[in-house]
Formats: sequence, structure tokens, C-alpha cells
Amino acid sequence: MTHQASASTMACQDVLQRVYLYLDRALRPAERRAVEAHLLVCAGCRAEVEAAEAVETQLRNVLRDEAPLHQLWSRIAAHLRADNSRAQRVERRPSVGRLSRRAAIAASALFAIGVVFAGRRLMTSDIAAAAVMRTPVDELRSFIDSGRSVDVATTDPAQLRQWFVPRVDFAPPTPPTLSDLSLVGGRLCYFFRRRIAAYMYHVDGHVLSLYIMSDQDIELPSRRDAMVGGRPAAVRELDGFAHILWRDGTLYYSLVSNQPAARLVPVAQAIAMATG
Amino acid sequence: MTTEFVLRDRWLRERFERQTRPLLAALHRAARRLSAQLADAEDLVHDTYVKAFQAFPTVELRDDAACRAWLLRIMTNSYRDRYRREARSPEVAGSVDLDRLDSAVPCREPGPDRRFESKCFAEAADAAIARLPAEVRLVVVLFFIEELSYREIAEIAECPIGTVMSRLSRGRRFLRQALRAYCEHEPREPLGEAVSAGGRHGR
Repeated sequence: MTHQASASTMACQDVLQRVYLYLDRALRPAERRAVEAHLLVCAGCRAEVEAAEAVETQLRNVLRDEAPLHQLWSRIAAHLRADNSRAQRVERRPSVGRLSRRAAIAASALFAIGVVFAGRRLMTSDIAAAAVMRTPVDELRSFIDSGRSVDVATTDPAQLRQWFVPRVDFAPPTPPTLSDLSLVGGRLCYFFRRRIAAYMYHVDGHVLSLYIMSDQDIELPSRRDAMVGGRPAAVRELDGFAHILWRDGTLYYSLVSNQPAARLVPVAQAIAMATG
Repeated sequence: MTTEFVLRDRWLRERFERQTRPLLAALHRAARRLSAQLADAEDLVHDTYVKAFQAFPTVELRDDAACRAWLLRIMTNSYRDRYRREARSPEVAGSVDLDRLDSAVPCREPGPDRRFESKCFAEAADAAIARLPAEVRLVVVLFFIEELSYREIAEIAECPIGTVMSRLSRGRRFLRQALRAYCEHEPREPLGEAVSAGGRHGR
């Protein structure tokens, strides 16, 4: 009822003003629902959204091409070596006046404070798309490399879910069971400043971790690489690992494994169907 | 003393290279769309690395993402220095007036052959991006090539997030108009039942 009421107040002009926020998934949930309700009944606006999406998909594809770097790094490295030599000569020079030395120290200190401050500002932002895709991969990799064992070893999905219930601040779904996957247990992880449930599986000699977490302050990368359970998903291959990330309701599902993305996407789709 | 100095510098240079070199291709990809010529793009990346190396001993970079943001911020400042040197106002430096979107004309009509179309789209995309005003181009490049969020772009470009969204929206509208013809070769699916019962565009 509320859904229909808000949709009825969204005119074409309102929708067209929000096309990019809609594509970027940057609308508030109520606005997004209103836009989607409008698109269901307005062919013109739907065509506009599809056209914008088509252009941007193709744009991203062509902008990703690599150009030959023409020995660019060699040129940079040579300059850096020369820079060092110059700095060394300056450091050896003995005749720097007392006042100018103080001024130089003060200027350097101010510069350092400025640079550190700028660096800190960049580091204290919300969890960004690149970190969202990288961190779970690093986590699984360190788990595998260290040879650690899982926190709770069980093949019983209900028992595993029950173990997580008092330990995470969301209602964990029952671990999905698929014919190709062997559930081996779970681990309580902590990254992105929150507790995360990691369901651990083995598949064809590979390790597979399904991280489940709340969606607060996490941005899904704007690029949509695949559809998982009818939802847009981001897919990345990093250092021999594949990572697929999608959102379902207020939870993020992050599936990571040391196997190619092409093999992991069907698994993600099956998991999304089982948990959705 | 000298040996110690040399060893320290080599260690610093190697650490800098380890941390920043993997980002060379990404920076170059963005620089190509921020520069008129390939040689200018290489100069922009080169300047960025030299400035970054000078500041490197004074920064703490938590991870690759922080390092990338730091390098992009330095590149953004170098880019601004350059376009300000080249033209007093970025809005008149051969760029299109985004308030008059009808001035966006595709480089040529797309042909029937798919490979040709793809090449033509790429050429048209480069040409259209080059016609964007400098600050709009910066935001578009950071968004499409570096895949940064509004917030990350605002931090790198040092401007409010609302300004980022506004510039990005203007740039995307221009690009859509300039490139739309290249994406409209295939007929769309017939409209569903819900549409036939519903409203028409222009409500």
C-alpha cells in the first residue's frame, strides 16, 4: 500500500533526475522502490534507464583497455635514482646558515604534518569499494597460509548456525548445503569493523569461505559484473583467488575461494538461491 | 656514513617501488583520459611518481587502497596545475558547454560491422571525454576508470560530495548523448504486460 502510494507520487521527471543515483544504487530504499515501481509501468523511463546503462556498460569496457607503457617505469626509476643522488649531495653540503636551517626544518615539519594529515584523511574514510573486494581475499589467504583450523568443526548446518547466533549482531542464515560443497565448519572473523560469520567449505580440493556480514557502511562497487540470485554482484580475481560479493536484504554475502571466478559464479548463484 | 646513506636510500626506493609500481597501469589508464596526448599522459604519471617519492618518507599508507588514493590525489593536483597553466579557465579550454547538450555530436555514424562499431565507440568515447570541462573530466575518469565511490572522489578531488555528484551527473548526461547512437543497434524487447496497462513517458 505504502509502496504504491510512493510510486504514484514519482513522476517521469523525478525518475529521470534520479537515473544515475538509481544505477549507482545510491538512492534511499524508499526512493529506490518508488523508482522501480514507476519503471514497471512507464516504458519511456525504462528505455531511458536502459539506454543510460547500456552506454555506461560499454564505456567501462572500452576504458579498461591497457596501453603499452613504453618503458615508462624505467624512466621514472632513473629519475628517482637521480633524485636520491641530488639529495645526497645536498645533505653533505656543510654551509647551511643557522637561520635558514631552522627555516628549512620548520618548513619540512609543516610539510610532513600536511602530508601525514592528508594521508590520514584518506585512510579514515568509510570502507571503500577496493577494500571491500580485497580484504576478504586477504583474510582467506592468511587463514590458508597459516594452516589454522576452523573455530567450530561441524558438518551440521543447524548446529553451525546456532553457534553463530550469540556471536554476531545479525540473524545468521542457515549455511546452505549443496551437493558439490562439503561444509567443514565456521570461523568468527573480524574485519570492516564488525563481526563476520564465515562458513567454511571444501570443494574439489579447494577451500571456500562464505562471509556473511551486516551491510552498514559498506559500498558495493558501482560496476556490476554478474547477477547472483537476481541481484547485482561484483566479481574480482585477485592473486589467484576469486571473490564474488552481493547483497541480500541487510546482509552482504562475500564468497571467496582459491579457484577461478568462472567456476565460482555458478556456486554463488546456487548459494544465493538457497539463502534467498 | 655515506654507505649508510646509500643503503637507506636504496631501501627507501625499493620500498617505494614495491608499494607503488603495481599501480602504474591504473594511473596511466586514468592519465590517458586526462591528457590530450599520450606523451602528456606519460609526463603526468612521471610527475606524479616523482612528487610521491619526495613525500613518501613522511606518509603512512595502511594498504594498497590508501596508496592508490594518495597517488591519485597527487596526480589530481598535477593535472590541475597543468590545465591551469594551459588555460586561465578550465571551462573555456576547448571543452563543450554542458548546458547545451545538443552540441554533442558523435564522431561518425556507427557502421554495421561489430568490430568497427567497438573501435568507433572507443574513439567516440575518448573524443567525448576529451571535450568535457577539466573538472568534470576528472570526476568522470575517477568514477569510470578508477571505479571510485562519490565519497572517495570527493576526498581525492578535495571538494564536497554534492559537487562530485553534480559534476558526474552532468558529465554522464553529456556522454550518454554523445554515445547513445553507438548502443542502439539492437531492437529492444517488446514491452511487457505491465507496461501496456500502465502510463506513458511524459507524465
